Amino acid sequence: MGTEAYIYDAIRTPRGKQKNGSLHAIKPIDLVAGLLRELLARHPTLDRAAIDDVILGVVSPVADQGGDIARIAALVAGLGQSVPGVQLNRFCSSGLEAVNQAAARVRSGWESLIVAGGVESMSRVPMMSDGGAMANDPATAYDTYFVPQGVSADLIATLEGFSREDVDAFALRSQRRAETAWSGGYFRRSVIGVRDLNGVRVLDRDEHRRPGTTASALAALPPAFAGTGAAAGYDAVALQKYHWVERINHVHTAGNSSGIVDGAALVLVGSQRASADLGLVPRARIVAAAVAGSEPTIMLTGPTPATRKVLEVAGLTAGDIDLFELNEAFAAVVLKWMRDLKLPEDKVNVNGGALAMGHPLGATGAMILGTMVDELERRSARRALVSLCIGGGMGIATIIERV
Amino acid sequence: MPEAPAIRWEHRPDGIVALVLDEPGRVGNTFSAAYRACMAAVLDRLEAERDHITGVVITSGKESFFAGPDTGAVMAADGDPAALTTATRELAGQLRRLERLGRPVVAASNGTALGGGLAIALACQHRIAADAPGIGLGMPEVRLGLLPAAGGLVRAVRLLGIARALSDLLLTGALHTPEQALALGLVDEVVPASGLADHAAAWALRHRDCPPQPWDTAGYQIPGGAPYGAMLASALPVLPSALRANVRGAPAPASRAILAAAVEGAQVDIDNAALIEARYFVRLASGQAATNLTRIYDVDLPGLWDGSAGARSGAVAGALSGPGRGGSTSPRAPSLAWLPPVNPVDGSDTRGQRRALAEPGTWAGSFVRPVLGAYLAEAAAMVGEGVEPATVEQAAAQAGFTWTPLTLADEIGLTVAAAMAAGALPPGGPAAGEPAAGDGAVAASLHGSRGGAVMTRMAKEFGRHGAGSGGGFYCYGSRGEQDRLWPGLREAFGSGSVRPDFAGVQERLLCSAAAQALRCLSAGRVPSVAWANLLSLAWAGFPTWTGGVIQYINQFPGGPEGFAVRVAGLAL
Repeated sequence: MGTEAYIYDAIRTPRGKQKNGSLHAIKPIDLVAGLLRELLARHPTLDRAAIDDVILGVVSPVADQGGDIARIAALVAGLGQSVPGVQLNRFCSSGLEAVNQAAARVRSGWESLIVAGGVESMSRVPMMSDGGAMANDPATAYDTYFVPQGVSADLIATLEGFSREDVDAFALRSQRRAETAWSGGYFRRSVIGVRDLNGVRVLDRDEHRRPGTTASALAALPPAFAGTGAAAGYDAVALQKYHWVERINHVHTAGNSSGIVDGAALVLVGSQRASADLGLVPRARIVAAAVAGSEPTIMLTGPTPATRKVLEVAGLTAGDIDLFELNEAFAAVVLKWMRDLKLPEDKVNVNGGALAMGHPLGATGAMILGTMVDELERRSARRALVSLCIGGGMGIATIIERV
Repeated sequence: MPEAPAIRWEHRPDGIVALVLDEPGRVGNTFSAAYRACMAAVLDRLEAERDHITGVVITSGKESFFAGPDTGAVMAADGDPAALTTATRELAGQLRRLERLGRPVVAASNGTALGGGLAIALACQHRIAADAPGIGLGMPEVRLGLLPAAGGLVRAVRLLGIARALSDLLLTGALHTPEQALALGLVDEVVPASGLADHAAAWALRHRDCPPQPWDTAGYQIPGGAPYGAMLASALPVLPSALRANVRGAPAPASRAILAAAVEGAQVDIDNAALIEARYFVRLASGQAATNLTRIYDVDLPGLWDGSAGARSGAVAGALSGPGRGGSTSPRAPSLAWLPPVNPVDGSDTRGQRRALAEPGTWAGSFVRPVLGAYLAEAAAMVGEGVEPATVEQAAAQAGFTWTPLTLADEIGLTVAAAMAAGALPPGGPAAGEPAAGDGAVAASLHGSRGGAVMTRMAKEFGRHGAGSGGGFYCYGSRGEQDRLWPGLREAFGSGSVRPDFAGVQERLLCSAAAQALRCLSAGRVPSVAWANLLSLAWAGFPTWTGGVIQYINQFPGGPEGFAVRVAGLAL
């Protein structure tokens, strides 16, 4: 039996919206450095030299957030030259992938304390700006029937029979639950306000939210992917593969798709020894983690096999899990996951998700893991399962247990 | 200097060398082995005598300037990609030497210049086209299932930019008039044919300093930007999806390779771009589609077409509806897009073939009608079995059929389509004494009768007679535009209750038409294999990549015997 991996803390920035957002003038390295400094401040007994590595997920690792931002952020935050850093990319799951890799390395016994998380300044570095063969190499995209994920999400809704009303209702629910969580102070412990270089407050709250939105306001939004689906031929490509479907029902809008935002998150992962040596108090144990591959054109159905896999690894069933959290990339993704695994609505995304608060790609996995650590404590519940759908047709899932 | 039979060398007193492309024994110039050997010798001599040369003018001794690839050589190299790569690289390398000779080289295109001709012209510092009616300039290789090699694709991209090269030249295979080519930027000047050579020589004499090619100039950038440049990066993912949508998922190896070679080549220097181009060319040339498509143009439609029959389009409609069945609906205008006005292989005019195919006379009724009938019946039979109608339509489109069967049946009208299905010949061929042109009277094959029954039931039981009568398999809008599949199909036929292998659905559609065509050929209802192939492409919308319905049988796994076994297995 190897060493267990524990979560000692989980913090995040608030999420800044894309248009006229408060974080647009803040560099991604400063989002990360601010959180690293906060981590040191919160844990005065933490010897920074004891940090074995910093692992950060970034999905478009170019420009401001390119070039192994993890190592450079560690230097900027004053962790000292002995603390290395590495950047990784498993698309939208990168933040959770970083946590899972940290946990696996801690469990290996080779390392005992790792800072894991992610960052994405989507207002500064647009999605897809790092290129890649999946979409940009014609031979690859042609042969793999690549379509953008919005069209994939609409295809899921079509196949599952989710109507526009269904996905809008889910979006409204996300906004309401996020409002309840924010007004109830559920995120108080984790959200660290962003300050400028003079220490002046820049942003304290997730600013993408529309707490006052209504069903009719959501219903008035135009479909976001119908135009590109038709004009660029993406619908035709998807239907060539899903040949039994006559046409795609474009139900997703800006309101029931995840928000494009800026943000960062960090999770402090360590062994039991880290607790003894550094005076840290564990908050949760990382029970198991898994990734899975799925059909790449529909792209976003990976959470179901990943969830089944992680439950099997942990020797648990869905009934053993108190809270489920799946990144709200698109409403239909979560609805399908709930249907596939027969998950009760009152246990899924209890504090809202990316439809309300946004999805800063590289950071989201670590963010929603932190949300679950907080919520397990608030409810005195035991286990949570966190999952994300992933570009290229993958899914990730992690089970944590409050200690 | 060895005598160079494919290229004549004429050294003028003013220091201009005229290279006259004129391969003996050929209608048009091509990238033949003789051309390649001659060009090698010519380049050696140009480089050796450069101090005595002011400029070079390239023109043709043929009516056309230069046609396309030497398809014979391409086919001969089938199975040896290394040898074909070497030969292709040599062609490109020669033109690279030519454009870096250090003397102005002018292309004086006296006639039609197809892919190979443009490849040569684009390697010249200046391009002049003669202004004469009927001259076409373009890169129709895509129609042969190939891509413009010898640096043709690479220079087209560098001259026009990725987007325009693809849309105006490479993917469409469109031929442009000299004026259009001038507007496009493919040629620099259009002059009267009579003064072409002198005009070209005069340009060379005025440009003794020999301006380098744009792509050999410091700071050169591809017009419209490179793939990862700001302008193109966001549009890049749309190129393959738009192509897939455009071909409706049908096999399009040449278009795919052209797109890939254009984008990939734009990310490296011109010599590596040519290497990428050559590799994709060899891949295509080694494939079955190029063999099939090239074969189409080898067919000389002889006097089979009896022009005196005088069939006009209205009569064609009548013939398609069968003898004695007046005033019915023609399916659609024939599909002749695959047969361009100019034969891409040798540059010859295809007007005769097009005219012959546009008016197939009695063959329409005796051959096209039962072949189409078998195809429509097989599709309807599958709908009747509970296959998703959308799957049937997708299977046909992705197999490459010009018209998807349920849409076409609606347009013909389901009662007429059922009669066409009933007229298909059963296995074993027609009984003695049967009429040459099938009508509803003869016994139909098993599937033909099943499919016919589905269409008859649609018309008689559900009152759905077709597109012109308020709806058939599809519903139609107020202006007659196709809307969506009739929802009643689900209940009537249990759509989706069976989920057959998609490739199996495609095979049934292909084999039903092919088996029927073979029976008609055996029964003497079509005069030859060549006619069966071409009529199937033009009138039955049989997939172009197959090279025609009989060629499809010939290349079937196991050949015609394998096809016969398969057809028996499918009970077609």
